[in-house]
Amino acid sequence: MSADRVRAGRGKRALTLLLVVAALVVGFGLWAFVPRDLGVVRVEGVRLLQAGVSDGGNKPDYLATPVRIAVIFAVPRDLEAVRDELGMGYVAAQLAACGSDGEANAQEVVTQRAGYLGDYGRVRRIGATPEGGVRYRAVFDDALTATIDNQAQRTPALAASGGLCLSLYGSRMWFGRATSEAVPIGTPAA
Amino acid sequence: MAIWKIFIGGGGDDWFSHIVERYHAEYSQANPNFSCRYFSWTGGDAIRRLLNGDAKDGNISLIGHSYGADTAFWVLKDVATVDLLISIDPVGRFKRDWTSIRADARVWLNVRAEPNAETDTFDDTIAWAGGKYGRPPAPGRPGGPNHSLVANRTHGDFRGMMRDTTTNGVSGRSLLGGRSVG
Repeated sequence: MSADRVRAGRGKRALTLLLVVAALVVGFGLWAFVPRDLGVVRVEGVRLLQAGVSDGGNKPDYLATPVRIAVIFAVPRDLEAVRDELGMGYVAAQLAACGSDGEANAQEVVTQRAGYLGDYGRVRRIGATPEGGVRYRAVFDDALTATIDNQAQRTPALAASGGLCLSLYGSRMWFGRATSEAVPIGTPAA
Repeated sequence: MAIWKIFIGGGGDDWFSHIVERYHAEYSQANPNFSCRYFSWTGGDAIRRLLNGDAKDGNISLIGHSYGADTAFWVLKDVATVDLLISIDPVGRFKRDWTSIRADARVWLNVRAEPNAETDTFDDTIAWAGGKYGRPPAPGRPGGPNHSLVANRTHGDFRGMMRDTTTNGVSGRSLLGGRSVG
């Protein structure tokens, strides 16, 4: 075998190795950094829970706002099963100003594998939808709508220009997250 | 004297897992009279500046998780002795020796996650690969923390490890003081 053919063979092996490494890096990058899809969220109802009204959870008063927002939403599949399937450590429901790039103003745990986040029992599975989906009720602190006007009336705000949006967010402890589209929740009834 | 509670998150905490970041947010909301700060594990220099600057004469608690605990260990080398160190399942590539850490904190609680086959998760594999610290010497031995726990929990279960108590009834949550979060 000529020296040229030996060099060509080595070159091919090096190129193959380089391509394999590049493919592994790209594969890991996609796995680690491209968010998975948690499914389509549909908001079915929203209302304000006035001060003193129980929200069914166990969040201490010093961590909760007096007025809270209860949101009924539906998803195609049970979120615990989705979390397991995607290998997420937790899945949380979030409220944020619409168009705020996912910077959450309020968040509550839907399901988690361990004590990653504080879970105050504010998200409950409440049944199934006629189409076979799953319905949840989530109660959020009313951080964005807490505006008080000059007459000390709450401005049921709705907030920030553009209103409030609900979305789901999941994450692993290391590498990997999952999201859903953010959907407007509309105006809560008092 | 100002009371400083400085939380240091591990890898990815400020980016997508938000485990310590959320804990800090809840704790600071529950305890507005404390000066609470959150840093990523990459914020060692900023923590040094804070501890040698605004917080110099304060009562200092450092709470670190995973790589954040390792950051706390190395920060201690460059600042005055802190009042409380809580290291939750520390992970680090270049490990500081236990005796040096012990000398730099008046009170130290170390919690190590040792999940069983049922509770072990991918988090634990990554923590192992990242260079998880071993068990420290027992309390009372040279280099041993004042309080030590081995928890049957996954690496990411920061809250669970903050709640777990030693046989003497001591937990990260109780040492931290103030109003507790879940």
